[in-house]
Parts: sequence; structure tokens; C-alpha cells
Amino acid sequence: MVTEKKLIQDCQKGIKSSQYLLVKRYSGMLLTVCRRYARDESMAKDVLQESLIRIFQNIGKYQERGSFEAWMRQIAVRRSLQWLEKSSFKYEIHAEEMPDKEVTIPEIYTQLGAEEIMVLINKLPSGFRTVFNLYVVEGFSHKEIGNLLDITENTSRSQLARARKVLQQKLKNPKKNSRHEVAIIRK
Amino acid sequence: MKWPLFENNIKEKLSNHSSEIDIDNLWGNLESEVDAINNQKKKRRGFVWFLFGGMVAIVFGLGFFYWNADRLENVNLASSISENQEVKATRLVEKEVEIKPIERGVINSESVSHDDLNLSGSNVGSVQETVHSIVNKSVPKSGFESPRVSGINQTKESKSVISEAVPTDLNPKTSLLEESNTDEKLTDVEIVEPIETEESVAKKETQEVIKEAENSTPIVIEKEEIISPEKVDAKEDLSPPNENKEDKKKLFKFAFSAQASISFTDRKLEEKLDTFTQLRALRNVSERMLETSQLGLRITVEHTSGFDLTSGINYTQINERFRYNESVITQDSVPGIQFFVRNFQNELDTIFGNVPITKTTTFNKKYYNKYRLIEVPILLGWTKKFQKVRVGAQAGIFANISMKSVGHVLKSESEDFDVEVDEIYKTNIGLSYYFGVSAGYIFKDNFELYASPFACIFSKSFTKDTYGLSQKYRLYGVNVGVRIGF
Repeated sequence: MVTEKKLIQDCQKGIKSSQYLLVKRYSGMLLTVCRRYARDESMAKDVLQESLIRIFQNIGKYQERGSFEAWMRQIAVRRSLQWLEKSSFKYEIHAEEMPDKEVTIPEIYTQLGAEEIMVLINKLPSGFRTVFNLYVVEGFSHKEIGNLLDITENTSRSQLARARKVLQQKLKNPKKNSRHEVAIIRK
Repeated sequence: MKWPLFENNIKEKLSNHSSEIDIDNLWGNLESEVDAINNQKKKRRGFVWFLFGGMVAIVFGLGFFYWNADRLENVNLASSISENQEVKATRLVEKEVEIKPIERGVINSESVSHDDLNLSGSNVGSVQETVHSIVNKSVPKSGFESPRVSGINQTKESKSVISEAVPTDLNPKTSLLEESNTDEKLTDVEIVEPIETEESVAKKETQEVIKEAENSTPIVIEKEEIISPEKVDAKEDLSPPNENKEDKKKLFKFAFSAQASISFTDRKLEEKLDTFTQLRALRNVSERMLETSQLGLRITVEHTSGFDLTSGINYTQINERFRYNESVITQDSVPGIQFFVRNFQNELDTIFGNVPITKTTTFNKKYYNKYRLIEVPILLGWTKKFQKVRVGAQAGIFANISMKSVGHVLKSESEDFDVEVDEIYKTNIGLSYYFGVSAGYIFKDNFELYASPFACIFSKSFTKDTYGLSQKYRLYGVNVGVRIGF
């Protein structure tokens, strides 16, 4: 089993077998990141390819100060956002801030798998989904999201609030969801 | 389950999730791109080594050329001496020559008259080669020490010459030289073979000459005086003066030096558009210039005129400190009094519940930013030597081969980013300019300790064109190093 450190060093030297191993080891994780932002599977795979190329181009600059996975994940997120920007996606949808309410989610939803959660999240409108992913999954602050997406902090907050609201509604009223969604969620 | 817990559940599951993907298909799409990246890296690395190797090869090539040029000069000098000797030999023929047995080591100042020579044009050719060989043998590369010295004829025109290599048993008659051609070219040197029919006459004449020589005042000629090329040159003045030879030998000198410096860094941060004024102000507040360190290896070609050309390899590291307080604001809720209400009895009721609070956490962040440059200097200089002290001045360019930037800078008022990830800095900044003066103390002929105050100006921005600010540097420092001449 090649250690992560050795794998990075070999990739920095341009050893092809190690580059293949890196793709094999991490592309699944990176594809998950890309799928959360992309509109569809095809776009997610394109973004993944670009992210991997970017990783190989810049792996020489990686220093062991942080997690290698986090570094790659960051690149994948940025590439995804660039793709969304390229496809004329605009984040500037102002909305009033909606405070979180004490919402109780049925325990059954804790049984949801990652794929089911992703299906659920991907049903969110693109802007909501992006902000929700950045804030909840990646752990960015609203300021950081604002800078990443070139929107104000308030816009980021309101987008997140709306995303939560939509998700809550979907979870509360699964009947309103399509048959397929319900089947997946209740599986 | 509460909503925040649900979100944590989402985060945990999605962070560790790995989607299924056809790796071979993905690799098939990526492979050509990966090959291109690898080739690009190799080319870049190869170019750097090619540049460095080429530079070293040029410097050493020049050195080898001039070294050989000096040696060639010496060989030409030797040829010149040989020709001179040949001319002398023919001059001897023009006059009268008598060769005595070598053991005598003396010559007669009152030499034999022209009539005493046994001249004959018929038996010249066979001995001509012998004369040349004698002359050539008499001009060794470095000095000459013959166990035997023969006498020579000393004439008004020519006070030297000799022929050391003449065998001791050579019949004096056979050594008589004759000029077969009377013109001034002095090319046809002929030596007369003894003539059988006149043998007795010649023998008699020779004995008379020897007798006269023994009775006359002998002039003893030192072996070295006779055959040393330097002596011959001095007497005949047929070769370039010694000063010129020395000049040519020392036309170029080479020196290798190693140096290090610490310098003051002056950074100039300018906005490209007015909208970036605030960012410039933020960066100026959060970043502080530290020292810049440099290490260099240099090879110098020095001309006797005092001018020199220097090249080598230089490593520069510009250091800065980035520090700012990052405030993170988070929303939370704690149990507490939400509000008061007045009831129908006009009493004040307290309503308890979760009260939203805003938490502000401040992080003190500190990073050391580093800009690492590898450069090739090409400097033209001038130096003047005063006994043990050498002073000089240098100016030229530094060609940047690569630049690597690490660290963090502010992106907005309270957010920083990693310059490696966002890549706002160039990887090559082109040319920079160098001016310096130097003073050194020479401990030995080829060893010198020197100090060189300098200014280095990076006229091009370190940041990419797409970044809102331009970032330029000026360095003012002192190089300290050792120089070894060879």
C-alpha cells in the first residue's frame, strides 16, 4: 500500500503509475464533490477531469501543511464554481433573510444514505444548492461564500435560509415530491 | 431530530462519500493530458539545466580558448626562434666559419678569412640537411644543455652562434659552410663536403687556423649564452619584446566567486484600477517587509583593461510577514428571557425561550510569505587594483529562470487566501536590473575577500496581469564573498 506522502512525491516527479494510482484512489471522492455542484452527471465528470488536470499541474506546489484531500477538494470546488459561472449562472438573487426555526426532522431521515441525500440536495435550485453545499458541507463562512461567488454576505445568508426552507418542506411533505424521490428517500 | 443535527448528518455522510466511477475510462481521457503536463515539466526543468550548462560551457570554452591561445603564442615564438637560428646559420656561411673540436670550448676572435673557406658549389646538397638538423637541435623549447660546445666564428655582423650538435670527430673541413646563393634571401645553405683531392691542403690550412686561434685571445662563450633562445632573441631582436608576450599571456583572467547578501527590501504596491485602492491599503497594513537574502555563485572573465564579464547562478528569497486578525461571526441561541408581556391583571409576565446571540471569534493569523527566485546574472564590470586592494563597479541584468511564491495575502477586509492555490503570482518575472560597487582585499594572488553594496530593481510586477495590484521590489544590500582566481 503506497502511503499518501510517497504517492504525492511520486506524482510531483511525474511518475505515471503514481498518477494513475492517485486517480484511482481519489477520483470517487472528488466526483462526489463535483456532483453536488454540477447540474448533471455529465457536467460533474467534465469538472472532475478538469480538477484532476489542475491537481497534476499544481501538485508540485502542494506543501504538507494541510490535508491533501482537503487541498484536492478545494480545487474541485473551485473548478465546479468556475463551471457554473461559465454557464451563466448568477448568484445575485436577493432575498429577505429568513431566520431558522426549530424544525424537527423525523428520525427516519437519519437512515438516509449519501446517495439519497445527494438526490435530495440536487433537487434544490442551483443557487440554493451551491450555497447550501459551501456552507453546510465544505464549512465556508458567509463571507467566504460571498467572495467565492461574488455576492454579498446577506445574499449568501438568504440563499442558505431558502435552501433550508425548501429542504424542510421536502422532508415534511414527501408526497409533494415526485414518486422517484419519495421512493429513494423512503428506501 | 433537530435541524442542525440533520445538517451535521448530511455533512458527515457527504464528506466521506465516494461516488462510483469507471477509472479506466477516466484515465483514458486523462492520460494524454497528464503526459502533456509531465512533458511540460520536463521541458521546463531541462531548459533550466540547459541554460545553466550552456552558460558554464561558454565560460569554460572561452577560458580554454584563451588558455590555448597563450600556448599557441609560445609555439609560434619557438618557431620564430628556430627561423632566426637558421638565418644566423646562413650568415655564418656568408662570413667565415671554423668549427673547432668541441672540447676546446673557445673560438677565435680573429676568425679565418673568407679565403680560408673551402668553397665548392658541387658538394652542397648532402650536407644541407645536416645544417638544418643542427640548427633545430640548437633550439630546444626550454633551455639547452649540451655536453659539448663547439667554437663559432665571431664576425662583425653577428656575434653569436654556434652549433653544439656537431659531432666531436667532425673534420673541421667538412664543417665549412658555404652560401650557395649570394642573394639576400639566405635560403640556400650549403655545406661543403671535404674534397679528396684537396684533403692535404685543407688539413694544413686548418691546422694553421687552429694554431692561430690558440695563440690569439680566446673568447669563452657560455653554453647558455650561445644557445638560449632568450639570449638569441635579445641579441638579434628578431622576436616580439618580452613585455608584449606577458601582456598576451595575461590578456584574460578567470575568477570564481561565492557570495551571500542580506538586503533591505522596498516594496511598491500599486493598484491597477481605482477599485483596488482599498485592497492595496489592506495589504499594506497586513504585510510587513522583512529582509531579503541572496546566495550566488559567479564566474568572471577579466580583461587586462580592467573590464570584466560575470555570470553564474543566483538564488534570491524575499521575505515578508503577513499578520491580521480574522473575526468569525456565528449565530447561536441560548435559553433566556425572550420578552415580557403584560397580562390582563396588568402584571408583567416573563417569557422564556431560546434567545439568538451573535458570537464573534477572533483569530490572530500570522504567515511568513516567501518569494523564491532563481536567476542568471549577466554583469559587465570594471575593476582597478591597488596593491592589495581591488575596487570596482558592476552593472547588468538578472534573468529570472523561475519564481515560486508561498504564503497568504488578504483578499478582502477579513479574508485571506493561499497564494499557491489562487496563483496570483507569476512563475517568471523576466529581467531585473543590478548596479553595484565592490571593494576587496587580496590575501594572496588568487584569493580575495570582498564586499559589494548593490541595488537590484525588479521593474516588472510579481503579480499576474489578472490581479488588481502590481507588486514590484527594490533591494538595497551588501554582498560579501570570496573570489578565487585561476
